[in-house]
Amino acid sequence: MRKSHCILIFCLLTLLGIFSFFTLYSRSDIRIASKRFPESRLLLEIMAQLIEEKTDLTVERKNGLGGTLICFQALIHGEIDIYPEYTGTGWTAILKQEEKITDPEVIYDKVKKAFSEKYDLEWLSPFGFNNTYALAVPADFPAKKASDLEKYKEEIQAGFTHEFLKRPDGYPGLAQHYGFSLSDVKGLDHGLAYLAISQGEINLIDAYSTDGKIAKYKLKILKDDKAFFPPYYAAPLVNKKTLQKYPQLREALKPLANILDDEKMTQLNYLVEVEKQSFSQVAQQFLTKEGLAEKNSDISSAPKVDLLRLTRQHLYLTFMATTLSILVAVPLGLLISKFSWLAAFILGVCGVIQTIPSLAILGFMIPIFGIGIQPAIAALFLYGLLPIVRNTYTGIQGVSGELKEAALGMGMTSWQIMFYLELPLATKIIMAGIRTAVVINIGTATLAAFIGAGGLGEPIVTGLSLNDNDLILWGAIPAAILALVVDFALARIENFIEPTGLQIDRTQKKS
Amino acid sequence: MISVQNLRKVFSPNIVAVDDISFSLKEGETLCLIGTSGCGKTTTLKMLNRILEPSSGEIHLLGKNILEQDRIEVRRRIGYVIQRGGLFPHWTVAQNISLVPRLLKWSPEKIKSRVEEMLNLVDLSPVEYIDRYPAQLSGGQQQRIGIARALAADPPVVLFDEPFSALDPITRKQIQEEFLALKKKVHKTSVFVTHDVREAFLLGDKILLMKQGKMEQYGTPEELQNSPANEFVRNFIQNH
Ligand SMILES: Nc1ncnc2c1ncn2[C@@H]1O[C@H](COP(=O)(O)OP(=O)(O)O)[C@@H](O)[C@H]1O
Ligand SMILES: [Mg+2]
Repeated sequence: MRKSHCILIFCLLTLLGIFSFFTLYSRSDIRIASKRFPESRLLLEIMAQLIEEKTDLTVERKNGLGGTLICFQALIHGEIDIYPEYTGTGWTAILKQEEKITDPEVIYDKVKKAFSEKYDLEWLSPFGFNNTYALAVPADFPAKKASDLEKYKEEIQAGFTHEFLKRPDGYPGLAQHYGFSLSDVKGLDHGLAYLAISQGEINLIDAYSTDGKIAKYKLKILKDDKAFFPPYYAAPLVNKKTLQKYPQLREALKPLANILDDEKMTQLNYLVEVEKQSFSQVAQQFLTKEGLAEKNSDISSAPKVDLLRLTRQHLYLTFMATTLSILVAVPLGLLISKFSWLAAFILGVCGVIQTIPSLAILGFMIPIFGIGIQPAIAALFLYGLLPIVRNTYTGIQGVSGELKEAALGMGMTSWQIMFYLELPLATKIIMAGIRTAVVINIGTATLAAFIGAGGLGEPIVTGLSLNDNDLILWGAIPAAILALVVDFALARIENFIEPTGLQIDRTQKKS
Repeated sequence: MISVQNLRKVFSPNIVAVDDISFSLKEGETLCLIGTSGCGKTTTLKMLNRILEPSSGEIHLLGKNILEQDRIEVRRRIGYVIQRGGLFPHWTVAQNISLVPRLLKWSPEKIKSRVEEMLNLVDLSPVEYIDRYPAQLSGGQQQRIGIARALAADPPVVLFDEPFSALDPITRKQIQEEFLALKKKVHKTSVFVTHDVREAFLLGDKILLMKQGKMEQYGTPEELQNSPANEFVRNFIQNH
């Protein structure tokens, strides 16, 4: 009776899970993605609102995907249709070209041609600003251009990001190109560098030329007078198939060509990064000001965080992944309890999987599954294996040899022994493994937002990119509560499905 | 009923656990296997229901060589009772007793009446005990359910491996008496392993005394008592 109830409930939940897939992740006409930093998200929002304004297409925003690699993979695998990319990034990071090109038009033409031939992608016209590496100093520092640095090198205390210190197109190349060498150079995190320069501990940092924090901390950009930094002009990178399918898309995005310059972009970044205005608000104001949108369309009334939807997505990810884990790990645990020579190997492999950092596993899944929920579920599935395999194995091993021998002696087959004796006696331990897997996965699922799978990680990812602690907590606290609630519920289920005879046995041994 | 010839069991690498054991029992007879711990009693018993395969020798049950029959089938036709009963803790008394009948796919009605019959046989009231779990029974009651389970499918032969050794002396005495009464009622052939000489003399129609896998003496209790084959047998009987 009880067992069949459980199976029934399980089947219903699975159906519910599959059903909610369609409601939670319905597909829109155009899916626009962005990278994790504010500028990219702003450009996404501007494009999205413009498309919604000028066409009838439905737009899905995939905010804050992990980075260049993830966005690009998603685009060529057809998981997304558009994202804003930078010409310099396309040239060096994606095409892996080493040749140095400083002319923005030349580099744009080259990437446009190469992407079209190699990947069937099209670079639309650039937005007009150049977000390249730049050197920033306090506004009152006497130097004006990069070649002035040699003159002031005694006074300079530099704090560069570790990446900038290492990259050939960073400090090493820069120093060679301009022929100076600084005596005081420290490696610093980007966020800390701004703090340090605002407190006067350092007076030279590397920055992005359109960074909104430059205005916040009263810094100025040194002119790259000998043209060292490669151009990083942003432009919409679009899948050609989408452009063919929806010709109106090209028309809709046309007004964005050259609509921005460095100063305007810096100002927009400032509004979201420093003044903490919402992306949709800033994008809407911008489009209105440029005469591309009606003033009164009301976006800001949308809630900042749609907790219900995110929680459902989160549960969906965890549930599907754990279900898969159970389907694979329990039989695997049974297998290794029968063939003990396999045990060390299988447990070892699962253990190694467990030690791979979550982001790395998510990364590995992208070439196989693209972005979105499949790779996230695959990664969570892998994480769920170890606790369940291990507990199934220990649970089965823990069944007394005496009982197994009695069963054997009475003529039970090994399958019968497994299903009627070993599994029931191991249920509690197996359930404990499943609980562990679920709790781990509710935590890990927050990282799924990095690859566009949604869930409670979404506000965390956004919060991280904006340095917005409130937003981070909007994701982190519900995720923690969810873990506790689900763990509690599973503990109840665990007690429910533990065979009655064993419960009596246990309570008696205690007293 | 059951006859065993030149049974031998060698565990790898080179442990001779059972060395040339032979005996034969008529229907209703009880053979008690005795000997010090580690002398090969359990190993002998486990070969009888083919939990272990003999290295050499023959076992005939009702005239047929069981080594040539399907193992699972053989086991279902032989009752098996181990120390502390070996009841499945997650099953009720009824489920435990009906294990072999269910494996043999008896009809539910037949199983139900058989379970009640078995409980009555071992002097436990069906109404009171049928839905209990092993954890809700005393040691002696568990052992009785263990016997009821072994007898449920009416096997011609029942094997017992030190079934009463974990019980306290008073319960043991009581259940030994019941065993004798039961034997008269059901008339089963049984092989009963014990290391307790007194138990062997009380329950056995025949006694087989083992030492390091070998048969020291095989005969009726009187024969062992009155004409021990050697010094070891004499000492064993006197000192235990
Ligand atoms: N699976 C096995 N592998 C190796 N040696 C065993 C095994 N089972 C039993 N033995 C050995 O065989 C001998 C007889 O064991 P056993 O029949 O259990 O003795 P008893 O039941 O009389 O106490 C012992 O020396 C024991 O160590
Ligand atoms: Mg023994």
